[in-house]
Amino acid sequence: MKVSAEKIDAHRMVLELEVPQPEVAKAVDKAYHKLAAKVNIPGFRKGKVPRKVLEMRIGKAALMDEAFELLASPAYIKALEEQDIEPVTRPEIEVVTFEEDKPLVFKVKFVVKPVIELGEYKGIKAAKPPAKVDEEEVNKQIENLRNRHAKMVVVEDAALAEGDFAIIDFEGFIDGAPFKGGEGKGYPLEIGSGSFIPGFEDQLLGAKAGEERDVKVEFPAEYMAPDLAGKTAEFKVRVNDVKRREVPAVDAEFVKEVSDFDSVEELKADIENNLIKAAESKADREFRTNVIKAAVDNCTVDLPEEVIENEIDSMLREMDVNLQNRGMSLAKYMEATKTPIDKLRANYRESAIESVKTDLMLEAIAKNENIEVTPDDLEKEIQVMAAAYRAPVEDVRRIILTEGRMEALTRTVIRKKAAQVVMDAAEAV
Amino acid sequence: MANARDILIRPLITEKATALMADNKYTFVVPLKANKIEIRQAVEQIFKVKVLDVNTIRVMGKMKRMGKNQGKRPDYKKAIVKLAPGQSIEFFEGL
Repeated sequence: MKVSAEKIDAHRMVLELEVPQPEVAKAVDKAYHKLAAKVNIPGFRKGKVPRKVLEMRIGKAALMDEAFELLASPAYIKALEEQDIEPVTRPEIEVVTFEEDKPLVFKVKFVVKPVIELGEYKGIKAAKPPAKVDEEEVNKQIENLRNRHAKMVVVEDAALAEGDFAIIDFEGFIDGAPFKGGEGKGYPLEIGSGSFIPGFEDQLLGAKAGEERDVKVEFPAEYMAPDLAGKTAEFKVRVNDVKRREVPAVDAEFVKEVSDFDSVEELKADIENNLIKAAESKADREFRTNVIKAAVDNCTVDLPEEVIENEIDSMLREMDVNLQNRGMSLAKYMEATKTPIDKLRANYRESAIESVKTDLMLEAIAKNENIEVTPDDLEKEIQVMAAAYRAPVEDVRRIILTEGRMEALTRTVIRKKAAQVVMDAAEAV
Repeated sequence: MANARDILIRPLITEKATALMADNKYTFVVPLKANKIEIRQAVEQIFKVKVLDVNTIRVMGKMKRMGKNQGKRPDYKKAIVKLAPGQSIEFFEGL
């Protein structure tokens, strides 16, 4: 097999491949047997049809196409291996000569994987936000807890104030006549909630349990019931009870009710602990992002347009899948947010470049550091995945094996390990 | 049956017929009423070859039924023509 490589520009490349004639003839013969076994031709059992008859039936072109597949793919893969080239796009194929009694000559055009020049990736200094928790946040948490455990308590002899609940009976009249939907009994009305017509709640302020009041209100001009809109109504209201939210005091009893702890101090310490943990993991994540980003910034790489576009494609596909899981689709989403596809792509461009660069860098680092993936690593990763999807480990393994995802998995693991190398050497400032 | 082209309806291309070609025997579908002499003359005239032997077989159409309807595929006559050694017929040129 003869191969000649030629660069078109910075990223694109053309390989001219020549496969010698005997192999061509062999491939054609193989293609004939393959097709003969598949096609049904009257008068012949499957696989028994002579080549001449087959060619007449399905055409010589179909036979040659099949033969080309058989020849070109292995030749292409072998050429890539020999020349140590990694394409990142599907090859464009151009056939120069392809006849049964001549060597096969064809050209493939593709975009070569960009070379990344690693910068400094060890000992990167990156900002790590402090993981601090102050007293105030703890108190806020406790306040939340108190509010959640607040109770409504009837207050004797209290005047209605903002935020109180008034249990009221009411009956409304327009021009002295009761109207539909204008009465209610034992209705809990929160004063200041604005759930009634404006003015209604204000006029009850200061009322005590057992008191009766007349409330005059005007329905707003755009009320949801058109026949009431803009009319003046009079309500006879009786306040049955005044209820107030009572927030529990922070004491041992409260602590026992909301948690398994015995004292206020223990509860506080626990809340603080949790907050610190959350803050730390957030800080870690941020630090990690900063470090990797800094390392990527240290690298130089000239990305071909096709690679970026491919990445955007796969990001959009992923998004589509995510949306579909929630009963949406990308098309619907674009309609709803009024984002045309090119704008969406432009939005993703930045992060696509970042992610491609990161992947390239991590792969380069892995090569540089001679990082190898052991079966143990893969097994661990499978277990992590299984845990993430809450699926049995065997199922995950089987899916990965049957769908040929092992290679992708290996790459993921390599990247993770490479990232770890960078992280281990990084320094927080 | 005046015209030789009316005698040879079409070549019969099947696995068996293809195998017979190794013995220099070629198979045709011919009218039921055609006789061996007519067939010999037709083949010699059209393909310009010397015919050594003609064998004919009447093939009875199969009985077929679709539910209560009975039908019969048409009968036909097969002619196997043996050529003189060294001669051959290129089929598929469309009779």
